[in-house]
Amino acid sequence: MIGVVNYGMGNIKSVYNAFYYLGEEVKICQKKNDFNGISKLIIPGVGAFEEAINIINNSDLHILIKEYVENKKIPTLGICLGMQLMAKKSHENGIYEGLNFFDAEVIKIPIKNKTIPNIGWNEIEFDRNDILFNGIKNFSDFYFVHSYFMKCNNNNDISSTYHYDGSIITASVKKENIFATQFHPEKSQESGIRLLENFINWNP
Amino acid sequence: MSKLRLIPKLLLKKSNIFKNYVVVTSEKYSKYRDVGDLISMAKIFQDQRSDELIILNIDDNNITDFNHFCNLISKASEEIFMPLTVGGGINQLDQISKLLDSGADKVSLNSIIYSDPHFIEKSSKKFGSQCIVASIDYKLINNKSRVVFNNGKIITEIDPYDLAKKIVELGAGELILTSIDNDGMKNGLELDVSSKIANSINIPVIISGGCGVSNHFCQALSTNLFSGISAGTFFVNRDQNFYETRSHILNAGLDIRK
Repeated sequence: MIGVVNYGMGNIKSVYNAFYYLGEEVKICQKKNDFNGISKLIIPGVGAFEEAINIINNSDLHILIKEYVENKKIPTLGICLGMQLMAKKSHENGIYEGLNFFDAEVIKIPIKNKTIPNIGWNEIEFDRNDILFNGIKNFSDFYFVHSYFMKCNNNNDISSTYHYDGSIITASVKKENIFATQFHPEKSQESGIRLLENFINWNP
Repeated sequence: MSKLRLIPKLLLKKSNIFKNYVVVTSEKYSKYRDVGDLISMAKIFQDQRSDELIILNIDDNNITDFNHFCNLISKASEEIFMPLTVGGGINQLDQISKLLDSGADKVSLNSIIYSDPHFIEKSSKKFGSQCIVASIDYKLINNKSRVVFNNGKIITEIDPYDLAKKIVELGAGELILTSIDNDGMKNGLELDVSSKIANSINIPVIISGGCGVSNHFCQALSTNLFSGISAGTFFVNRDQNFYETRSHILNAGLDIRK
């Protein structure tokens, strides 16, 4: 049973639809009892860091997420803002502390000629041996919508990148039981669906 | 850099016979013809790997039948795994909430811009500019391009160039420009007015109206001014297969998804 954290910000339905399509049972997790019996966790997110982390900190979700991700170490997927929340801190419209799953900071995408947010399809580059990208061609397009990205202090955490306006931007990170993507796999057509399928079968 | 986008546009109207929504095509925002069922078409575009999908409720009762529309969007969103933009008479914040909860990623605002342009600002602040697409329809009146609202029914003195700048200031994340004169005519996109506008603003601009052959896409995208092309008649009538179109555009050296 896959749990999707609902803190009021995020395209829950799209994530739900994608896993339902893949034949997986999905449970929306808001309170403590919701988390019972889940074997994998998704943390989605669309919007601004400050609002999201405040909602999480002011509810049981803060404790529950840490318990399931850090203590129980269940396989976890963060998407978009959900990925950024996993950083140590974010610089979006202020300085806010994140869940600190990754030694990283969320900063604005540096731009020269292009505009932000970057909305659209971009080719990502990853290690061919990465099990989560199994069956996906390197330099496949995934769908991004963001102005900020996760800058990692530990390069080993980065599992895929893409180029935007001359900079290398973190597209996904992976460490132990946690995998997180800046792009939206549930919006990335067949490549995204394959990635979610790989996550379903992932036993780190 | 983000790839240039090919975006099918599906217009919904209540069928005269069956009282449920059907997909229609139009010519200059009139001469509507039923062409099929929304869910079936959504599945087809999913299979054909279109980059995004736009669904617009152009029925006259689009505000009163809003819940029915949300249900349809919900069903459509279960079939597609690409970004979905929806619109049709949206004039309240909670309508945007309901549509986003139903599976939409972005909402298109058109007619509300006439009566309350600051609605763009309110919705952009609440949902994020990446969610809010401004849609401007225009046609030539006495040789001047003028903005038209309410599916062609309200003709104004407003220059689309001026309105485009305004919606950017108000916080719209993207702009869709549709030439009513070219709509459904299959003679090519309008490039004079749209190029001037795209050149002067710094949010992504998608143009629409008039695609008849793949080359029309190539001509527009080669200007390097537009982020994508949206087409209704072209994709829905399937005179030309989506794969063939994509192949043609790729061969022209344009940076779209393979």
